Amino acid sequence: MANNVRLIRTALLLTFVFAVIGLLIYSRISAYSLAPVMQPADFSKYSWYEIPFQYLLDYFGHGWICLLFAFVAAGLVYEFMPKELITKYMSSSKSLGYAIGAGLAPFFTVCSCTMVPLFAGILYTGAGIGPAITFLLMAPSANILSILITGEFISWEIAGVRILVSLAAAVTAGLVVSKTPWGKTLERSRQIGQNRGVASGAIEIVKPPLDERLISALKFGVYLARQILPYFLAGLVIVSYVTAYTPQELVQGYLTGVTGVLIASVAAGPLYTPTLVEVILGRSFLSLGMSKAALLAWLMGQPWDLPNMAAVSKITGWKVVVTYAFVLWICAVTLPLLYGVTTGSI
Amino acid sequence: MKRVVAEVIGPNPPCQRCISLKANVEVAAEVLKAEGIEVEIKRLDIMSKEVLSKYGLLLSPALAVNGTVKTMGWVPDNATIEKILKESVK
Repeated sequence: MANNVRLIRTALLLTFVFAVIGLLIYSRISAYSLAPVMQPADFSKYSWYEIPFQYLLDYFGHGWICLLFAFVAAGLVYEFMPKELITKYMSSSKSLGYAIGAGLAPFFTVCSCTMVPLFAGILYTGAGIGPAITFLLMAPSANILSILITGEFISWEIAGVRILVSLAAAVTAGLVVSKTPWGKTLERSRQIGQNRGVASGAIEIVKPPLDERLISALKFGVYLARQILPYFLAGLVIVSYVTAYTPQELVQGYLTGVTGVLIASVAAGPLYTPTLVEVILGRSFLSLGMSKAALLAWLMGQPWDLPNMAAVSKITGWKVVVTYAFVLWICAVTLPLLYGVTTGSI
Repeated sequence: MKRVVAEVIGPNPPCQRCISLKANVEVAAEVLKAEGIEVEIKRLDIMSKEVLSKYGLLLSPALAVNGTVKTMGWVPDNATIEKILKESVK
């Protein structure tokens, strides 16, 4: 009896997951735009109080499939990713540490409650400061949620480039910090004992039944949605006004060329939030005439993630934080310029 | 009376998911008490030297029973926790 209930529950959950995936594929086949379709010029049709409603309607009318898929995917990936793999290999060696830090961090989504403790754990258990920094920086900038949303709402080209530049910036920052005297001092003072082989025999992960893992995955998706969507909604309202009332000349004048990259790399600072608002605001500026290079610099606004920096500086001290933030900022200027020059959109 | 030690491991201050894990463990402990198993619940800091040198790198929230990590990175429900605790007693 209990087995039957379990079976039915598993079947229902799987149906739901496949339905969500099916919706995304169907929208692809029928060429239904998942990104909002309103253009800045359309806003003049509405009076001031109608603007946010029309904008929200446009976003959710088109974007709900994408948002639903993104949250379900984030939950599933987080749940079914072999976590032991990371915790086991992340603390073993340096080069492997960089590879795993950069390669697997994107699947950890935006939950900072997981990020900072993991960062400390990597630092303490042996892989050292470099891979720890790489891991810390890679996750919020190129996690599965933000990449999916960037890809669907802006373009997959930008999303792909965003992964590459985040990777380059995160690895560079990790390498640079590990070479600084304060980075080395920190690494020595924080390492536990001489032997790196931490007692891993004390871990025997219990594999729960499939239905419970699916529920847990969906619960995590809901949890992420509840954390992010309120900011996302508030962000949409603000962005709707920005799009409606920012003169195109202003954006075309200041957010293009080298100046555009410089301004975007700094302006993203106070606005940088791991809430996907940077994606919609970036999209809106793009439609107003921002260059792609400046957009990329905008999306790399991560050196300014202040809450995260505050939490990290408690563990590492401010010198390390300032170093990696500076490296990230340099990357946020040079890499978008490089991208702009090679693609001719600057 | 049989005894079992359950350690809820998470960051300090606790994150939302660690609080739910602890709540679930407490519910499971109540149920097991009726069956004659006493569960001692501890809260450990995932970043402390003690935890890191004993278990190494963990994903929060983690649940360790009698010194062995049983789950990490997700919140098991009451029934699953009960099962894990019972198996550790044997």
